[in-house]
Amino acid sequence: MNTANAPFSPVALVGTIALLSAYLMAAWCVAAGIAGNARKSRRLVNSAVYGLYGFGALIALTSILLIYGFVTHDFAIKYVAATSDISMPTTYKVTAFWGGLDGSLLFWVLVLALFSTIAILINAKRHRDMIGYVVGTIMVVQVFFISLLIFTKNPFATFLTDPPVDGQGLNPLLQNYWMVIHPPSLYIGFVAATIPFAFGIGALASGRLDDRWVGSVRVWMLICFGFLSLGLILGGRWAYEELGWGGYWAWDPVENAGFMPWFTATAFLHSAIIQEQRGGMKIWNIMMVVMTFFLTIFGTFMTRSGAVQSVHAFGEDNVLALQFIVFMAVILIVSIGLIVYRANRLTTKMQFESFMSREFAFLVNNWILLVCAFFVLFATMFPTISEALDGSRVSVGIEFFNRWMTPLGLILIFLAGAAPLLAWRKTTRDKLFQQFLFPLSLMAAVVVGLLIFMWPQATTLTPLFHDNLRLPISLVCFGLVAFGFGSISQEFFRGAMVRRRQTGSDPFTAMIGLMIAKRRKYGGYIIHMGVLVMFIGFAGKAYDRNIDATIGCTGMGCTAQDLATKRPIIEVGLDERKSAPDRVRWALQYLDLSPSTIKALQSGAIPPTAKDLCPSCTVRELPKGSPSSFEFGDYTFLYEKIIHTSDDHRDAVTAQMSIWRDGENLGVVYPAKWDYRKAGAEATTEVAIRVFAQEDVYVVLTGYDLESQLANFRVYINPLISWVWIGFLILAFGTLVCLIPQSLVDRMTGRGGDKGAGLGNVASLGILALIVTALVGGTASDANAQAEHVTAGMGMGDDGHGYAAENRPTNDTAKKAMQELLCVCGCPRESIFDCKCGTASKLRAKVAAFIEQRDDRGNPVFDLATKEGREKAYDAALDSFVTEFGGEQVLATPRSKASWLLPSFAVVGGLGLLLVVGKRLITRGQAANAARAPIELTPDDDQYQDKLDDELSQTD
Amino acid sequence: MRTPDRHGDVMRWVRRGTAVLVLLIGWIFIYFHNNGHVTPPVVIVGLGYLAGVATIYNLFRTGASAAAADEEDDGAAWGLPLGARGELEREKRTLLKAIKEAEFDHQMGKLSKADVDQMIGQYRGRAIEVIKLLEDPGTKKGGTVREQIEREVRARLEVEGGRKKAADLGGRKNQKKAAEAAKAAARAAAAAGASGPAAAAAAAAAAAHTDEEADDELPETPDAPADATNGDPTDDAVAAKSEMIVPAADTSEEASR
Repeated sequence: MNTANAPFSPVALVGTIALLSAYLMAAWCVAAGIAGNARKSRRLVNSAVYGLYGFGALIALTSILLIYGFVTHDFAIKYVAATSDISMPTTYKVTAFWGGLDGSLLFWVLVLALFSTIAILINAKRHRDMIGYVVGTIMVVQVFFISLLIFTKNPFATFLTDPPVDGQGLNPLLQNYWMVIHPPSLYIGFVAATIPFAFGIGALASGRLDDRWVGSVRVWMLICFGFLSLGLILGGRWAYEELGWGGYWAWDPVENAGFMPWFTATAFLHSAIIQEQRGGMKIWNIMMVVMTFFLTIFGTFMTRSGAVQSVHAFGEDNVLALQFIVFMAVILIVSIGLIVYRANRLTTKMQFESFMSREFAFLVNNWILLVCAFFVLFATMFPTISEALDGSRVSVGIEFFNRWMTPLGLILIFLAGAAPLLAWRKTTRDKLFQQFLFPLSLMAAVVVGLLIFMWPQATTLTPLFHDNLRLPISLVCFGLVAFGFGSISQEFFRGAMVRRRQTGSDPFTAMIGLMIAKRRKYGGYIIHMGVLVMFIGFAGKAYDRNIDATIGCTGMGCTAQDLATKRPIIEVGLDERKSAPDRVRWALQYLDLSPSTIKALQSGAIPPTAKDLCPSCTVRELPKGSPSSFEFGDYTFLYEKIIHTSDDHRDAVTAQMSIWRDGENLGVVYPAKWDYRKAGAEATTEVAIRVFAQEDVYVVLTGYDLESQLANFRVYINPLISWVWIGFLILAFGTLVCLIPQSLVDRMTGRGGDKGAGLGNVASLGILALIVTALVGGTASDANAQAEHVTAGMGMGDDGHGYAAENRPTNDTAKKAMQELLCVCGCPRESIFDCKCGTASKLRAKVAAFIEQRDDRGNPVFDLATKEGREKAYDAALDSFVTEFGGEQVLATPRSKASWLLPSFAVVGGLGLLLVVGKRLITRGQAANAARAPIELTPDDDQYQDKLDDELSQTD
Repeated sequence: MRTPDRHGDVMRWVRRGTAVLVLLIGWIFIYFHNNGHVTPPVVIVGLGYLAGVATIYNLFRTGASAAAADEEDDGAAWGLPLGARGELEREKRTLLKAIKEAEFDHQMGKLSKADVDQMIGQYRGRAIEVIKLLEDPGTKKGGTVREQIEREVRARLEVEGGRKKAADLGGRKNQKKAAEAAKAAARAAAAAGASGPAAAAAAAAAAAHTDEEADDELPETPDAPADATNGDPTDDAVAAKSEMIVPAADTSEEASR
């Protein structure tokens, strides 16, 4: 090897030294923190704390060095060369820091360092007796990630020979505003789960298992929940705007990696209330904290080790996988070991006394959330598990997830509505009817109303659990959402009335006072409302539809058009080859003419030609069947022109299309395809979305031919989808309400004191971070962006027809089979029904031919007129593909029994177990309550009664 | 963190001031080195310099803390800081919230009058018990059994602190002897399964016996100033000083760990 040409990068050298120094410092913090706490040495603990701050500063320096390498085009560094180039805007050079695997790991360390610095600064005095263990735990995580960076994925690794003159550039999919903000918010959510875990371990190790740690941890977990929610919704928004498949959630493994800890974090936020209110579920809470952290590490393992396949994943790396597996084993062994060691200190005197209690509702809610987390984990890992078991790797598509997660989600929204109606310990049976009356009435009214006004769409059936079990899920969903709204609005109304009676204030002031005094409860209700609104959007998915159309632009006016007058239409309508009377009739029907012009036209004073009649008139109504238009739903789409532009970076082909409804022009959209010049860069499709209150119209240019001006469009109509985004905004607002710090409330009420100041500072920081992130995210809502996995030139075949529109199914059996079979073109798990490539078109033709095949006598092999015949055709089509492609990886839904047996067992068995165990707990609780001797008060206790009343008056 | 004395305060501000000064000088240098042009690389260099200064500053503090002498710590921060009183305070807060929540649920129509009266009755009864315990003079200062024993010994020595020779070697020997005896007695009592009060009483008795032995050894000293309390000056004064409490059973279990 000729080392004479080995590039030297001072940035890489200093960066590597900084990484090594950080590793040593982290190791010192682990040793000093744990030993200091165990030996009760204040100096060692202080040293560990300052070491943590120093580590944070050192990692910040390391990150800045890497960013400096990006900004100064230091292509001697491999990572810089792989993820940036000279022509990239500075913003994307900075965000390229987390664009690849190596940098993303360093970014994780950076975010954790910053968060842990804040957490320790705030809590060092409050939890001084266990802060050493907390620091040690956090730094163990840091040691792990730093060791990955140093030994496996060094972002400062340099080329051994001449470095490239220019870099490869960042993936075009990542060069947009959403991808600036989405990874940081998701990483913050992941990292925020480490802090509660560290405090949990600290509490276990130190034996400090009173409820104070729960209060501190709860705020951090709320921040984790808030940022995970933000990260997930931004990812969904990015996918919706950029990926061109009309949806926002595909149960991709990387999406699931962020979703799993969200479930357990949500479970903890509910069960922590039980511990704070009633002192129960201590072991459960610690387990949820451990599980949330474990799932963040597991999700990171999934996406970085190659254990699962995903368009978002970083690729396969067995060494990395092994390192993660060892670390996860250590986490579980240490955590569970500590829990078992301290189990006797985690017992509780709390009893469950009734099924109709808020505690039991929370318990069921927690169980469902845990089942959701583990189902997503199971289904995401199922392809890997099946490959490990029998060598065949199956696929798990969107439908499989939806069939299980939908009913679980419906149970959750039912609980979100029912739990607020219940009291702590027990709800008086006679009062149950009163509580449930309004919400149930609202639910019934909505269901009946939908059935009346939206028949038959309201009865659209959706498969649940199994293909043969189809129910009107959307209708049920709308009903449960109405139930939830009724319940929560009743809580707000009645609560405000109670507060009004207590304080004598007006209703508005009473409502605000209620929300502030009981902000955790009512902030939680607002979050529930946000989730309910999101479910409206989810329910709209059942009514999604799409169409593929290949159309041409009308001839002579296509390249030079006057948009305002729709000249192509006018040119065609007033074509002089048509008879004069026909032209007059056409003009009177479709053109917006003045009364004098109409009179002159009818009298023959003006000839019915475009030049004479209509130099600048407008089209009043779009003629149906225009060669440049097609109808779909209530809309008419007019393809006006195609524009080809290019610059240094890319070629852009943009179609101009106007959307019409009932003769009214609703606006113009510009779907496009961008083809980047950089070698190896993917082409992207820019989606055009027109948002209406009740639905989105989503237009994708799937193919084009510049010579013939033919264009292939796919149009999706997505009802109610905007409610998903609106629901998130409500959820975010609710999170902010929950985070209102006590210090602020004390100041507003004039109580003073720094009670909970530690929590207040955390909460303040959390609010500030969420507001800043929300503002940044909000201003990005108008940002244009780019994306798509469709390759350049894709969509148009040699004969000029778009592939997407070719070989569409002509019967339901073929459609169902096409939706079940995955395309083998390399696209991320799209079915051949959805994929827009030529391979998918050919496979669709094969499916259609197979189902419609005839025997030697010319009779159809499969009788599609009967149900049995259709099922036989469907199964045979799938079998033939499995045989042809050598495995079930071509199927979207696994056919093995394990894929539905295990989830069934978990869900049904778990709920049954919950009921049985619950019954025993409740019986025991009722017996304990009955056996409790009443406390006898004497007249001497009157003074204490007064003192108690005084203290109660000071309590909210 | 250490409780700073005045000198520590001054040194801390000197360190901080030095760091800020170094930072400003560096930034000014960077600014002028780039001829006043603030470009993205310049900004990044500035941030990197800040990170570097922060790193060195905290490295210094890390080392200084590790090399510092072990400071006096009252031990309570390492054990169970709440102690009996803290647990009672927490329980009282929980009961108050539970009462308010039950009242609220009743007013919201979720609980009948009979149910809410029964619940609130239970909560109020227990809350009054807790308030009584908190107001008991014995509960003014709680703590673990170890803390109580050490407080007992310190109080004893303080009461008898009129003996100037308690400050000399013999006095130190007395204190040490008494403290060791008290600790040994407490350990023995706890190991024998004695409850907290019994252990504390055993410790006090051991300390008293040691003091009596020491008194025999020591030369006569002027009479100590009479304690203001009536009754047995030794026991009452010590009790007043130490304000022993009746520890709960669980804290004595903790002390025996």
